[in-house]
Parts: sequence; C-alpha cells; structure tokens
Amino acid sequence: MENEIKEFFRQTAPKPADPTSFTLELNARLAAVEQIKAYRDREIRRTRRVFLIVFVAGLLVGGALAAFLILHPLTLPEPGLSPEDLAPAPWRWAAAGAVVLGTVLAAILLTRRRTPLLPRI
Amino acid sequence: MTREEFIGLATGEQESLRRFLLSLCGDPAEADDIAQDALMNAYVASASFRGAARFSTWLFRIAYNCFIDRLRSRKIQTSPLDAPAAQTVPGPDATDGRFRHEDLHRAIGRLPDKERAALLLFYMEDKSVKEIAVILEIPAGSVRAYLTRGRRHVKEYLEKWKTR
Repeated sequence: MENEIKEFFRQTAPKPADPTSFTLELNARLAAVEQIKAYRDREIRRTRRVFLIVFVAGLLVGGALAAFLILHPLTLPEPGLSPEDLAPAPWRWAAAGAVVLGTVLAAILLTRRRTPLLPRI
Repeated sequence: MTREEFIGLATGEQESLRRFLLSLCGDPAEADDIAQDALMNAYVASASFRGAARFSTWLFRIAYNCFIDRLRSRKIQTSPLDAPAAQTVPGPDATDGRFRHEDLHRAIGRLPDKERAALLLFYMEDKSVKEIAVILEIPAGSVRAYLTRGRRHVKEYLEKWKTR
C-alpha cells in the first residue's frame, strides 16, 4: 500500500509554470532588497557620523568653556555696586553665542535632507 | 552569502518549493507569490543561516510560515475543490487509469493544514520525518501521528477509487 500511496503522490504532483518568469521576478525583487539594504547601511553610517561630530563638538566646546572659567575665575560683585557693574561680561555673550550657534549647527546636521531611496523618475 | 550564491542555492530548490506550495494552496499565482515572499525573506535572513539545518529544510520552513501567515491574513482558499462535486471519487474508468492532479485535492484537500503539509513533504518531496519536524516546527512524534492519519485517509480514497 505504501508504494501505491507513493505512486499516487508522484502521479498527482502539480507541475509549476515556466520557471523563467519566476526567476526574472525573483532577481528583480532581490535587486530591490539589495538597494534597500544599501540605503539602510548608508543611513546608519550617516547617523553614526552625525552623532560622533556632535559628541566631539560638545566635548570641545564644553572643554573650552571649562578651561576659560578656570583661567578667568568669576569675581562676585560687592554688595552696593551700581547695576552697570552687574551687566554680563563680554565673554559671557560670546559663550552664549557659541552655544546657540552650536545648537543651530547640530539641528542643521541632524535634519539635513537625506539621499532619496530610489532615483526620481 | 552573496546574491549569486543565494540564487544558485534557491534555483536548485525552486521547483520543489513551488510544487509544494501549489499542492498546499491550489492556486498557481498565489503559490508563486508565497514562494517569492519566502525566497525574499530567506535572502534577507541569509546572514543568519548557520547551516545547522540543510538549506532546503530552512527554506521550506520559511515558505511554510509564509503560507500560514497568508492563510491567516487573507484567508486563502486552501481546498478549492470543497464543492460537492469535488467530493466524488471518479474511479479508474473515468480516466485512462492514471490519477489526475485533482485527485490529490480530493484525497487530501479536507485534511488539516499541518497534516496535509506533512503528507506532501513526506511523499512528494521525499523529506524525512526529522526534516518535516523542523519545517513544521512540531515534534517528530506529531509528524508520525499526522502521517499515520493522513496515510489512512489516502488509503481510503484509493480503495474507493479502485472499487468504482
């Protein structure tokens, strides 16, 4: 009976259609997958680079500010001084400007227009 | 695994994979679509293929999972010959004494999916019980039980076919 069952399955096995079109479609799909993989890898590399740049820039700015504060210790105003004496020193304006500029640059880097996944038709 | 290596391996399995899926779902277009999905998934995951199982077993497992996913999401018709006429057994006098592809659906079309898949893998694709267990993600004992039940079912069909 086992042989009969085997023969039954052998005789009734369906024949898939011509493999040429199937293979062509498969190749096209695999090529698309490769394109997506390459795009994803590019994006991962780009994100890593941006984070590295922001990290190094933060370290440099923070280090420079810390060094500046150590080299130019802050002298607290004596009570009873005029309001002009309490006005921020020029280096403080420069530091604030650097922080703002850094933030803007980081925002521009992070939101820069990405390479399109597929070429525009 | 490079794309060329993958295509080389997949080409060797393509026919049997498509035949298995076609026997499972009955619709050539649907079967080819599932086979394409399975091969795409396999290619994406090919980096994780460690060779613990044979490539063929691994690919059939992915394909069967794709079939099950399709079955759940789109509720594909797995036994297109469920109509009353399909339940009849034509008998050898109605043909040239050979079985037709439709007989396969008549014989196993109403079996549960796993049972049908186990029978097809064992008899049509010559897979071992161990390989079927890996493909269907069930213990080898369950595969043997499915095969016993399925065999009984086919045997009954063949007996009816002979007596007509």
